[in-house]
Amino acid sequence: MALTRGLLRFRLSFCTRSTDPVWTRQPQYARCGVLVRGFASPPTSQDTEPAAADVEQNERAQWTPESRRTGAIAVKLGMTQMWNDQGHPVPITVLQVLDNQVVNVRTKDKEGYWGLQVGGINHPKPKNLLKPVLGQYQRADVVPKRKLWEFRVTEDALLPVGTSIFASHFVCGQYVDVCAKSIGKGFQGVMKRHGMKGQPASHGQTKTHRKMGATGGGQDPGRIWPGKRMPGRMGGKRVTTPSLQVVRINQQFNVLYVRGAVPGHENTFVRVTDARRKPHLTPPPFPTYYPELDVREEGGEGEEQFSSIHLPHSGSIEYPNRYAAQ
Amino acid sequence: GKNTDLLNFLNQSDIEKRRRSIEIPFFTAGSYLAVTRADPHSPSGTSKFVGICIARRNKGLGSTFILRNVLNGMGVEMMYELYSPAIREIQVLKLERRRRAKLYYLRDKPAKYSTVSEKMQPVPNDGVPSVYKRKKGEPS
Repeated sequence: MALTRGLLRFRLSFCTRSTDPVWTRQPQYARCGVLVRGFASPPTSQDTEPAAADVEQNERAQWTPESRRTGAIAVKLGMTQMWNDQGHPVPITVLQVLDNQVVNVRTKDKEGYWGLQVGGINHPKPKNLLKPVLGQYQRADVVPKRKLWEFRVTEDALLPVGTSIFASHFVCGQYVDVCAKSIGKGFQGVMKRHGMKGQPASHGQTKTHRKMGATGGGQDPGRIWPGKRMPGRMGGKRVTTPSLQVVRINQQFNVLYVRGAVPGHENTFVRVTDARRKPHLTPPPFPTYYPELDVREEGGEGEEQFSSIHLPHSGSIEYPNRYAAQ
Repeated sequence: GKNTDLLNFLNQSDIEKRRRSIEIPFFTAGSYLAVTRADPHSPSGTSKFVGICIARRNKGLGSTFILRNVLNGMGVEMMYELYSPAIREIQVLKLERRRRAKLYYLRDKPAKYSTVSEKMQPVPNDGVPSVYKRKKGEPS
């Protein structure tokens, strides 16, 4: 059968260090710019010099249950489905961790807390950024990004400026909190916004079907309590969906497959962090994942799968034939 | 948006991988299919359903199709996901098409128009669906 529809070719361009000013540089990656033909090897991060990777193993900090790693900035690509080993469908949200690099480090001495400012998704038109913003990138020697977010970390999880963060920073099977701006619904009435029941549709109701109804007491307190739920703008707010399981990671495209739904529309920037309520059972890559130190071989598709998801290439599900077992 | 290209590509990759494991024949609504799927409760490990395809929905990895049959006087419809790993085999008994893409009208018609025999033998086809010729008084 011929190539299925939807197989597209992408352009690949590697990040190279250039000497011209930051605001004149063109973005080094296409929007999802990885060569697809023949599953080329993942883009190497030779330019994003993780100095921390050169640090000796015993000098680099070790993970403890009290450590808090950085998160990542991802793009919500959309939702699909996968199946588990019983054949039941599992809803999946696909997030791409795109062009993440540490841009600033927040320290206890200077800012009063330990944190990392991570930039994600290379900016398509750096010339449109403000000069002070570009100066931040120039100081960090990092390609200008579209989104900057800070992640609070513990002191042992700090990373040097310019370190790349990949999807393999997360471990298959771990839980993550995903935080994004929810879809804006505009000015909404009380039934949609707060789930109130409204009034009956008939039986004499005069022009009152979707209203709040009563707003409070009488002469005492003689006012409406602050926080009374009323119509207003709904959505477009920061929402965190906690404890979503990472069921699959594609290292080649830096894609996370997360079970469940994630706030925001497609192509929203989302923050992905280790789940606060579901601690790691095994030590994760700490302080982050370094591709040079990855001992797995590069062959095949460069993916890792979680056991509760049926692998697409592993054939159909089989149950024992009790007639044949003699 | 632009990033859905990558999502489409990843989905199509999964579809390709699935299609390498199992042969998914071409069929349209109106064809007669026999679907064998993995069944944990069956002693043989599989269960088979024969029916006429009344709907086929192409949505990438989540594509589905519905088979309809009348068993013991009871109309039964089974919806299958085309790329689900629980499907062991899809066999096209008869490749046929009708004048509709969805044959939901069969639910309102007499049962004999939706009945497919379990022992139906496959009819050889060359990949082109034959056209259902409506007899006078029968639904198309």
